[in-house]
Amino acid sequence: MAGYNTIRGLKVNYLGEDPAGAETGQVWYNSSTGKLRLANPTLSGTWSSANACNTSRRYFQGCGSQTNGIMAGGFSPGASPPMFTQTEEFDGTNFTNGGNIGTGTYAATMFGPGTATVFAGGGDNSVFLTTTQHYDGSSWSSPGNNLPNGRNQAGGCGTQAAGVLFGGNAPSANMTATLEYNGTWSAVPGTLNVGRRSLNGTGTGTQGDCIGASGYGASGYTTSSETYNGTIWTATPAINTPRGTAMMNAEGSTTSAILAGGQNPVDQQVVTEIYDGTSWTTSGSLAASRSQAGSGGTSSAMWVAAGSPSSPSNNPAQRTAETFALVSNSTQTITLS
Amino acid sequence: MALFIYGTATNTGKGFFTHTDRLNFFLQGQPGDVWVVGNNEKGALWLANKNGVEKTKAEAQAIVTAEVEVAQAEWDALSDEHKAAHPGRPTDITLP
Repeated sequence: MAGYNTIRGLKVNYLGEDPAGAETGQVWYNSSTGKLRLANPTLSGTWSSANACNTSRRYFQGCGSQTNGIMAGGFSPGASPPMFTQTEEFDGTNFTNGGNIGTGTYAATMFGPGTATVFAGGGDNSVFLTTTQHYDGSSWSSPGNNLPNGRNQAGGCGTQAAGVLFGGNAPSANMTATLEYNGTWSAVPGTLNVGRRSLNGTGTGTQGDCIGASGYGASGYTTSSETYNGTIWTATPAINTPRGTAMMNAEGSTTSAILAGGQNPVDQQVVTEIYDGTSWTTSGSLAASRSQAGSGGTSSAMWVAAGSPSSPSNNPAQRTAETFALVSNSTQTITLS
Repeated sequence: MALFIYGTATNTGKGFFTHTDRLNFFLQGQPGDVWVVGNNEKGALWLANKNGVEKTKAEAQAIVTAEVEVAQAEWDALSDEHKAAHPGRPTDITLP
């Protein structure tokens, strides 16, 4: 049998402790513990309860980071009026009310940081909207650049200067079309391989580094995951649990994304999956199953709030929030058998 | 289970729900004007548009159970002759 020296061209180092910054695949002998060790980064994470948000609601989105997050719109059957204009800002600890959007809107697409947010499309309970609004950290304004067609439940990511909006429902038709945004919406040739609504997206803030996953399409709740390079959408390894109306971190990339919750015909989900650019790994569960909720955050610190079930009486149990902390387990002990 | 939305809404008769509604989402009526609705966009909007009020499953179950218990008590109070004429004591209902 070939030894490590033959395979790697290196001898196994004898070290007094695990080295910092070991390369993936690096092997060493830890003389303190008497263990043969392997650098094999694996991602996992845990959810923790956060302070409740202020308004129970469903079918809305969020974006921004865990310390500068934002969510807006949504609705709750029985609330008066049922369609919400409320905006809430999240600082990592508390939710505080911000400026209201102009029209009660559900299932709009949001992206951007909490101080430069885009809120586009959605529905007002009578029509699908084309309107676009910008948030500056305190109030919403209308830049006057509308979507070419109304749609709701679309995915989105990016910034006011470089945004992407894709898929969605327009109406009762699962869309594949992609729009790019730089202050003005432009239809682009790249289309999703799987038309769908109720999907999620995350990206770095450039139009060439975006990933969309999950959703509801012609074949029902999907496991499809795709990346956008600014020109075309390419299928990536599928998520493990088919679902739609899930929650995703807003500030990720094509090599780092977190997808949590959602629903499928089995039930509303608690399952969380982490994408590392190669595969989706199930890790960590929400304390409360939820879908149609607000979410945001980075690939190491995500948040979710409210969602289904909603409460017209604003019951605190239906406006809970949770935060996610990513843990990188970089070293494993090799067991010889 | 969050496959369903539970709520109360007053049935206004014809047109309260349509064939299209039934195609778009699960819909089940229960005593006490309780409705069990599929948890999707159209189901949630239907409940909102019917001036419905979302309830937790436990709240909805309590309403249904109270209605059933009233109906059971009324049936129990019937004479044997009436019971024979109206067989079938109202049964307990467990919401999905």
